[in-house]
Parts: sequence; C-alpha cells; structure tokens
Amino acid sequence: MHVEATSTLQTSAAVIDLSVSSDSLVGNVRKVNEDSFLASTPIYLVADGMGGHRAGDEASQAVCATFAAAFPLPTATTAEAVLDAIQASNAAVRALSGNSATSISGTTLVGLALVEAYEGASIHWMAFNIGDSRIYNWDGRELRQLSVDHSAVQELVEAGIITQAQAAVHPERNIVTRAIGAFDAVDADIWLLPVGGNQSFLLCSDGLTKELSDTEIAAVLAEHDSARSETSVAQALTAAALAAGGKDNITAVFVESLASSSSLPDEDTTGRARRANAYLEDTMPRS
Amino acid sequence: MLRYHSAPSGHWLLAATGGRLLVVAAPDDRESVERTWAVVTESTGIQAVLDHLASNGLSATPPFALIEWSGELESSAATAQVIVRGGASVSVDSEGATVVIDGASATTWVERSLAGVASLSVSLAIAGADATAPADLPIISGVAWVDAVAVTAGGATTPFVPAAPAPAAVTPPAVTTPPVTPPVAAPAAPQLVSPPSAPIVVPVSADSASEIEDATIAEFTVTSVPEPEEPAAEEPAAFADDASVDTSATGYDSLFEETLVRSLEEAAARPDEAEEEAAESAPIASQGSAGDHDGMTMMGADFAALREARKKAREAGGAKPAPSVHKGPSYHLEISTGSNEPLGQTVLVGRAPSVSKISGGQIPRLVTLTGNEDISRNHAQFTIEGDTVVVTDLHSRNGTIVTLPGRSPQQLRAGEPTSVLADTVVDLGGGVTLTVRES
Repeated sequence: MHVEATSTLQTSAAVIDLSVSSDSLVGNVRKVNEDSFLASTPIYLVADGMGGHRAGDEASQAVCATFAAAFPLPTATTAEAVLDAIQASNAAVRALSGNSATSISGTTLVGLALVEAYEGASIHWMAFNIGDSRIYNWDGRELRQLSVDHSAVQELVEAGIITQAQAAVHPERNIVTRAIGAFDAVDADIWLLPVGGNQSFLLCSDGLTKELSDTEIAAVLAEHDSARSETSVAQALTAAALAAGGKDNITAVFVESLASSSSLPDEDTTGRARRANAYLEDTMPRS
Repeated sequence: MLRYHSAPSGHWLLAATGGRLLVVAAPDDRESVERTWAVVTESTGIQAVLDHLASNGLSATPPFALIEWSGELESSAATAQVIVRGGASVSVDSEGATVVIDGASATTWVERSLAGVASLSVSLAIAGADATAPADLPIISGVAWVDAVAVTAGGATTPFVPAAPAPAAVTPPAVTTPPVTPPVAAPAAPQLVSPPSAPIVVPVSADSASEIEDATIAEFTVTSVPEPEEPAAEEPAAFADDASVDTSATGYDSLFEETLVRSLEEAAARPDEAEEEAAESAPIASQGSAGDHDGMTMMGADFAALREARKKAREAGGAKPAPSVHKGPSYHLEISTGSNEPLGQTVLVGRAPSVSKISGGQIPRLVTLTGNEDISRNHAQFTIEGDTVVVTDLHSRNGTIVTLPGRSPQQLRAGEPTSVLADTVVDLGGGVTLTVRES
C-alpha cells in the first residue's frame, strides 16, 4: 500500500512544509503483511509486528491506531505526549495478548514526531525507537542511521564480538531485545534534533534494511528524482528491496521537510579568542 | 547574644550574621563596608572568607578576627572556630578555662578550633581608645564600627540556630519527588469510533493459519518473550545489557543517572552530615583545605554550610518561622534574552540543541538561543541534583563562565559537572547569560 501526502505545520517559531511518501509491501515470501505505518503530521511511524496467528499484524495496527487517535491534529506535539502514546500502545498490544500464554504478540516501533516544549518554544524532531526497525537521516549525499537496533546482533556488534558485516548473516539476526507489548513497561530510545532548512528522514522495517545495505539505500535515494519519476521515493525503496529478495515485509516512510524561519541555526559556531578576563581564575585542565 | 561596643568609623568593622562574625580593619568607605558584608553573608565557608581576606597577598591582608560558632552557648556546648590576625585578640571561655587567641604574635594568622564554648569576646587594639570598654549594644545581624565584641549565652532573642536541627528541620527538606506520570489510558472510545482520515495502512487479511506459521518459522524469529506475568528477573540477559549501552553514550552521561533516587538520599542525609562535619572535622577542614581551596571547587560541605548560614540569616533576620514541612527549593533560569525556563527536568541550552539516544523517559528540555554564533549548538546543560543546580559545559567551542554570588568568575572545565547556587550567573558568551534563580 502506497501513500503520499504533503502538509504544512506552522508554529510561532517556524513554518515547516512536509512531504511524505510511504509504501508497504508484503514481499515475495510472506503471506501476511505484519508491518503497519502511520504518516500523519506530526507523527510518522513504522511498526513491524511479530507473533504467530495474525497477532503480529494486529499488534502493529494497534500501535498505529493508538497514535492516530492520540494525535488527531497536524500541530506540533510534546515529547511527553509521545512518551505517553508509546506507553498506551504498549498497553494496547498487551491487551491483544490477553491472558493467553501461547499467542503473545509484539511489534517494533520506530517513529518521528515534531515536538515543542511548550507553545512558542523552538520546535524539534523527536525520533524514538523500540526494536530493530530503523530511522535514518538523509542529507542529500549521506545516509546516517540515527537509531540503534535493539537486537541481539547489535549488542554483539557493540560489544565488539562481531562486525556489522557478520551481523547481517548472524543466525540470531532476527532476535530483538526490546519490543512493544513484550513487557508491562516499555523503554524507548529518544533523540531530539533541531529543525532547520531541508531535512529528510527514512523510517523503515527490517525488510528493507536486511535486503539493502545502507550504501544501496543511499544510491536509491540519490538517484530518485521525484519530479520526473512516476513513483515516490518510498516506492523506489520498497521496489529495490523486493527485487533484492523481498523475504520479509517491506515498509518505508520517507519524510522531507523544509523549514523556513528567520532564526534557524545553520552556521557553525564562531571561534573566538579566549575571553581575556584578567580576573578569571585559572581553570585550564591540568592535563 | 552578640553585643558590640560602638567606635568611631574607620578602624574595626564588624560584620555578623548567623553563626559567623568578622571583625576586620577597614577604611571608612562605603565600598569596603559593602564588600565586607557581602563576604560574610555570601561566602560558602570560613575558608572562602579567608580566601577573600587574603586575596591580595599576605602582606596586604588586613588584621582581622574571624569566628564561626554553632551549638548551645547556654550549656557550654558550642563549638567555635577562631582565626585571628594582627591587632585583634579573641578570648574564649572554653570548657571552664579562658583561652586567649592573639593575632599579634603570628606573621600569618592564628587559628584555633574549640569545643565546650560558653562565651567569646573580641578585643581590638585602637590607639588611644579604652581597650576595656564593655560590649553593650546587642546586634543580631549587621555591620558596625566597633572596638569590642562579645558573644554570650542568654537572651530569648538569641539569633543562633542550635547545631542540632529542630524537629521541623529534620524533615528531609526539598525534593518532593513528582510521581511518575502514569501512562495514559488507551484512547477514549469515541476517538476510536471515528478514526481520523489520516493515512493509516492496515494491510492484508490473513490466509490460512498454517501458512502463516510456516512463514514465521522460516524467517521471522520472535523475541524470546517471557511469560507476560513473569517478573522482570526472567528477562533475557540482553535486557540487562541496556544500561551499559546507555552509559557508553558520550556527553550526556548525567542524563542517565537515576538522580531521583540519589537526590532523595542526599536530601534526607545532608543536614545531619553537614552538622557532623562542622562539629567534628572542623580542624581538619580548616587546615587541609585552606591551602587547597583554589576558589574553583565547591565542596558539598561548602554548600551545606552556606545553606545553613543562609537559613540562620533568614531566621535571624526575623523571617517567618520555618514551616513544619520543608519544601525543596525550585529553580528557574532567567535568560538574558528575556525568557524564563523552569529547572524541573534537565535543561539543555545551545544554538541548536539536540540529544542523542536517551532512555528511561526523562527527556531534557531543549532551550534554543538563536542568533548568536558564539554559542555552540549544544552549549551547556543544567540539572537538579538533590536541591542543588548542576551546570555542565558540553565541550562548547567558546566555553562557559560562571559567577557564583560573591565570587569571581570562573571558566567551567568542559564536560565537568559543577554545582552552582541560586543567583549564579552563567555566561555563554556573546552577551547571553543565564541566571539561576530560586523560585
């Protein structure tokens, strides 16, 4: 399923034009698409459900429905509201499992939201992640993974036991260590980034990243020309992953933003001679 | 009861507040009076007063008598620390004997710590004056030109706060921990009935269950999820590793600290510890840290002492009686650009602040200071630890200068958390300052 949308979000500090394309494919092997996504300013989500007996797709859908209900208006929200929605999603997925010990369902969740601390405060991107779906930052040349997978192999990588290349083929590469619905409480990783100028983010399920390397994803992004192509960026990505194997469900949400504001910070900090205050006591590092 | 004998201006200046008094030879000008008062009321410890007196070098240090005391004079159970230089002499009635501490005999100063103190008197050399004049005028807190000072027991209006905190003060002050916000309930039914028109993709109906299971087994390994009712101890080991992952992140380590837990402990323990330190280890502190105290490092005890002194000063100044339940101080940041930021959660200030990979649901407040390129994207961070504000320079390019009240400006070491007090001015450069205010 493919969705494209544009919207404008206005705060007292900035006007942000948003363009989003999203696509989700069941893939070549699976019979069910257990991925869900939400692309509704100010919230963008990809959830990759897991569990047998339809539990996975119900779980990912429950998360998107919870967020959609929590953020019905295209206005900037708050980090606290997003955290609350994450916990509410967890409760909703837990409720799906009920008391059954055999059909536990869970889902990953990676998301992006536009948040401000209070009305009139500066606006920020809030990225959040639970599980092994990913969010990337794309600056037109370089693809940078923002999130860190909550997966068994990622922990082995960070411990220095295996390399990133080994992780791609590791037998435990599908084991996630955090998920919505797994426990009574859920702990998301959070990033807050300033909003300014042209910014692009890719949210995707592991069906994309297990078929395409970061370099290959970057190549698709760099080659895609929205103006001349009949397909969206998200479709180009999912099609490439499908062609590469499509062994899992493939979901991509690509968010492009253009923020215009008189005071958005882009320049480097100006170096300045050390403030030469004679009365300053010496606190230079000892080393 | 503190009493003094008035003298013509221009010889010895007495500045007293709470359990601290300083008599210093000072010129008769407004500036020196103001400065002396500020030093006595704002210094964070007796060493800090000493630092100030000796700030121009030993030879330029004026004669003085500096005394801090606490405890019950009535029962001869007070302790006192006395530092004397030059033509001042302090006579202490301690444990039944009279100890005379005379500064004239030392080239630097003479320092004594005394226990069992019942009374103190300061006699001051003034050429041609009656050195035996009785200290007759009472004073609680203030500045006066004097030629004699005495501290004695008695007087219902005694301004001195007993060393043992009053029962009300024992109640752990401050830090009423806000309860963790419970997760919001699932959205209300009406919202669900009319889902928004936003594009939600909810794809695909299931085919036969057996095929789904096959697919799941083939490619999709589910988290080794424990039984939902199992306690957290049953979690896979990988979960336990999360903490180590978090702490490996650079620059925001303090964000991951469980400050709430520790701050409660600190809040509960601090008053007693401070008193014990003051009472027991005063000699050690005075000898050890007088030379080491570089004016840069604020020790926890300094803060405790200053808070104690301020509390005494407030009470001595006739402030309202302390409420039976202490409420923790709350702070806010007064920004020179005109806005105020509450200091409840961590506050991160910079030209374009961002945070990376934090867990645990404590999201810092990001304060963007636009239009000044002297300020780094992530410049400084403010946190509340216990009831103290801690500021950290986040390796900013041009540095951060803090000015504690009554002290000289100091540059923060990058990445090093530093405790500051209310009314501290934090200068980020480019004319942007943030002032910590107690609200």
